[in-house]
Amino acid sequence: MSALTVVPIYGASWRGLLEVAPPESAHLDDQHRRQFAERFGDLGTALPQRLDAWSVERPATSPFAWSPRRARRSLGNAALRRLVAGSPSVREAVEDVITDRLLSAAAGLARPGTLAHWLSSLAAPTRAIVIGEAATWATSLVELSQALEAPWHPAPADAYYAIAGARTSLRAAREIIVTGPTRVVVRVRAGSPGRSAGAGLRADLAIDALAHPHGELAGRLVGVWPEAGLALAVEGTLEDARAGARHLLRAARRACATAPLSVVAA
Amino acid sequence: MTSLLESLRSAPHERALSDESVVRRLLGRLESWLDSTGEPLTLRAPRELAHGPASALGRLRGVAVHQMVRLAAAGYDWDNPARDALSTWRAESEGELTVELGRLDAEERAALLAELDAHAVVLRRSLGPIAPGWMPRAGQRVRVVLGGGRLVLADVVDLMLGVVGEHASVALIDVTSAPLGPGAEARLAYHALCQTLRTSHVPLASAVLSSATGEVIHRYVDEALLDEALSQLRLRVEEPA
Repeated sequence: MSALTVVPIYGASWRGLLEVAPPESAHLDDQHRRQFAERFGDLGTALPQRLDAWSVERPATSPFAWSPRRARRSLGNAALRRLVAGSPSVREAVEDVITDRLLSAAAGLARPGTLAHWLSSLAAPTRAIVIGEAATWATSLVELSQALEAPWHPAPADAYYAIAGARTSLRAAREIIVTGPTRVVVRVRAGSPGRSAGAGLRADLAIDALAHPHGELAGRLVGVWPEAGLALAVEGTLEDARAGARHLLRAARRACATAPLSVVAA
Repeated sequence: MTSLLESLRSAPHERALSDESVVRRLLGRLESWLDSTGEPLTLRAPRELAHGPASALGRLRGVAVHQMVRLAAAGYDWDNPARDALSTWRAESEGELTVELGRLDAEERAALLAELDAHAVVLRRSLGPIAPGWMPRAGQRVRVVLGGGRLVLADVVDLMLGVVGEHASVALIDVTSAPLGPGAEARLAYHALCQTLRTSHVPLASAVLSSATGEVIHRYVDEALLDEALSQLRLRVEEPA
């Protein structure tokens, strides 16, 4: 397993982390996927579950409810994609993204609990707060990307992988893909990195490779914490991906163990 | 009257090139005296102690003014700033202060709303419309960990304009609902230091604005200001608990 690299963002070492070719990239093959699915299948998960780096790093999470801060990543990432496609400003990009969601809600296409449904329930001032939060998120991404010299593009979506026969899906957050000599995946988080940040990054590395049509591991998986001015990176080695898979399996076991008795019995 | 943002727009065209050596020097100085400190310590921007601890009404005024800054940064054209600020804050918050707001009788509530509208007038006059091209960010949090966790500098910048680039181009604006006191300069210096350490780039300017009086103090950030911030930080770290 490779050591975690820690560098300050915005400086020369940050550019180096994204633009200097990592070691030759590896692949996950069908056998890896099969073994992985068998281990999850053995857990006998009673209810469908979704795991991500958060489940690896912070097992106990409160029930989800939309708020301006929780909406900012999804809207901010979509705004970055619009900005790259030619939107004149971050704010207009965010407003366009929100308008699309509102139109979908008005057309009856938004299910209860979705972001679009929640946005449609907000009064204008609260929607402005959402716009501000999303614009702040997107501006941080613009700031990060402006420091890059290598070609990059916004991630089209997070990486998703459903484990066959295990009622478990995995999600890896990703904001920016650097397409230099090898693919480097950048994901951005609020706050500052905790002790389990490396485990979360390795989990994201494994999920990203599982979601890739050819099982290709990213050359590097870089986590960025703009509020702390820090980036942490793991190399895209098979050992790191295996470690990520083990973290995910442990998180799934924990989730099964803490499931309500009625659910386990069901 | 020239607004704060207009003053910043007409900032000197010769903006300093971002220079990572400034940060290396600051970190070197910090590390030299951090070695002698004891327990891990988290510091925030120095408070305005001249006015004493804020009452519940004072804190309500503070959170509402910060909501106004968030709305202004989002380009929201408010008709009823006080009500909009309080309603958006209540939608996101719970706890003691929301209970306090609920406890206000009709007279107290009307007085608070009137007072908040006056703060909104000052904000509008001082900030003006914030163009999207200024890349505004409201409530930008900063958490810089130094000396392997021995010292954490935590900060929230009410309004940040511009993005880190080749030239110094970021302006930091602290908005307070109280009149400016003797701690205002220390606050703007602290914001500048945190931003410099977080991004390895020196910001262009740092300012403190009072929405109560319209007073503004702003400084272009240079090494002298950062040195001043570092000296104040050392005093706070070394002062007896």
